[in-house]
Amino acid sequence: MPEIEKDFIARLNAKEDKAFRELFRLFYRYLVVYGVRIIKNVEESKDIVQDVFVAVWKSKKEWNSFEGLRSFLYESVKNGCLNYLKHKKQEQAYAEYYLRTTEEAVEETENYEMIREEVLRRVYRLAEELPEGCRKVFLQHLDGKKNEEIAALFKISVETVKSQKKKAINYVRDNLGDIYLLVLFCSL
Amino acid sequence: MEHHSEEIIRLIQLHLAGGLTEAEQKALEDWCAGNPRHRAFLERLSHETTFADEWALYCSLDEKEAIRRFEKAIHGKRYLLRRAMRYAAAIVLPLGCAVGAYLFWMQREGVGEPAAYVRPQHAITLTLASGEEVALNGKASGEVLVTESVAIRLDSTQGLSYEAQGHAGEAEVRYNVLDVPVAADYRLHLSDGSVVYLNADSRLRYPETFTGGERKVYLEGEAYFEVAKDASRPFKVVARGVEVNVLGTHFNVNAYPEHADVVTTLAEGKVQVAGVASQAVLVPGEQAIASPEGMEVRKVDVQAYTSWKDGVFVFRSMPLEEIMEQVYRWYGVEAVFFNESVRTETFTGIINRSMSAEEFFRVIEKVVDVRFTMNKGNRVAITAK
Repeated sequence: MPEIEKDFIARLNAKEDKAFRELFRLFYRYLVVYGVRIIKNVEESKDIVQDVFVAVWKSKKEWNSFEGLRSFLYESVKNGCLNYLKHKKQEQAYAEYYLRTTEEAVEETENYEMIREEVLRRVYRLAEELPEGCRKVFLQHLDGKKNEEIAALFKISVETVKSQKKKAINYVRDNLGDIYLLVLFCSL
Repeated sequence: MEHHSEEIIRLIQLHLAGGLTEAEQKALEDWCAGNPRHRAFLERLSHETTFADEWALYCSLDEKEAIRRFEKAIHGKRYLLRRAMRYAAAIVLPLGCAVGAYLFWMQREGVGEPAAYVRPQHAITLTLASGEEVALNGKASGEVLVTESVAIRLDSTQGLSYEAQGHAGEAEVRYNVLDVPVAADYRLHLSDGSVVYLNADSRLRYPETFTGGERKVYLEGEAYFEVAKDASRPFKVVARGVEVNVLGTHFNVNAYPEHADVVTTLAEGKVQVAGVASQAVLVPGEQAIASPEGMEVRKVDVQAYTSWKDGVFVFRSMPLEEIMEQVYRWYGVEAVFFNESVRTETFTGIINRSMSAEEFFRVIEKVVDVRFTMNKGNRVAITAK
């Protein structure tokens, strides 16, 4: 594990306020988005994520890896959401559908789910750092839109779309995996 | 498996962005080929079409508010009071007064009478090798001590200076300690011609004259060094287990105790920084952050880290909480945050250190939505506007 991750985990284990703020900066917004995707309710999702952070703080468990903590966060948010859906079960057909499909496939999707959420979280974190114009193009590109469609949507030239895309891709390349860099940007 | 996931996460991310190299493309293809489920997963992920929609939601979320809510939940309301009390105990008790008044003031939730700022006048102290202590502030220029080997002089503009005399006493290294309290800084000329700017709340231990093959000094707190060139005698700064080795150069060392790291910032020349388990060589513009676990080197704006010696504060998107640490050191004014949210507000700007604390606060109030209210005992209440 890189030194900086070790240090971060140690500070979390020591319940340092500052470390928890960093943890919020890294995960909070994405976890809420993740929850909303499951339960379609922003306020409830915020509450669920809050509870998960509080649980991490109250937990006597000593984390020994960043990956372990990360999995715990995703899984806890998901479990919180599933619990919420169970309570709502009678009311929502969607809830039933989601519960059925996930419960059937829990075993094999677990690791995929972690990979998926981590990929998406980092894409959002990186998108945050892009200049406005560049980001708009990049998000449409991620959604599978063609250059021409994006150009028409924002009333810009295809050349501009291409150059903005290139800028975004280069930025993503340069900063991949450098999650702490982003924390530093935010806290400097 | 975990390392494996990291790599896959990286590849998929690049795949989505559209920036895979040929080799990476191949690696991802191999991963898909190894398991049909992998391929199905990648297909599904590639066809996500929610980015643009979810982005609006992502941006609308306020993590600062979430942090506030979180800290309230885990610490409760008493947290603020406890936290403030801890600082208060450190300051008020030694002065032997006013704890009761302070509590009364706390209960009134910061609506206490505004009070004028009084700059603390703690003594800058020089401890000689004999153990004798000399208070330096307010003292006129003159000789502090002259022996066979050294002349120590005080000059109201130059600070304290050491001059080696003819008889370099090889036998014994005689250490002096210069202790600069909160709300002061001080300049020191060492016997080899090097100049040290000691920041507030810092101490330097150094020999009256350097003997032997090296020049070694011990730092607590923060100092900026302008080391006189002498290739035959390397200059060493030791700060909490970290050693900075120098030939002749300008650099800043920050080893204040509330941070786990010792931060060395190089302005000119070249230095080597050695921590417990790792080391790094810096070129100008680089900074080494030595923590007990390792060393990180990064490029920084040097001025932001060394400007204090020229009498200005340079803040770059710095949270108020950290700014107030510096305010405490320089003005001796202690911060009490009445709104947790205010701690994480940031300020960018340059402020002259010759300004009074009140002027300093007015500058920040102009830019950040906070209000500073000075209270008795050099405390300032900080509230959201």
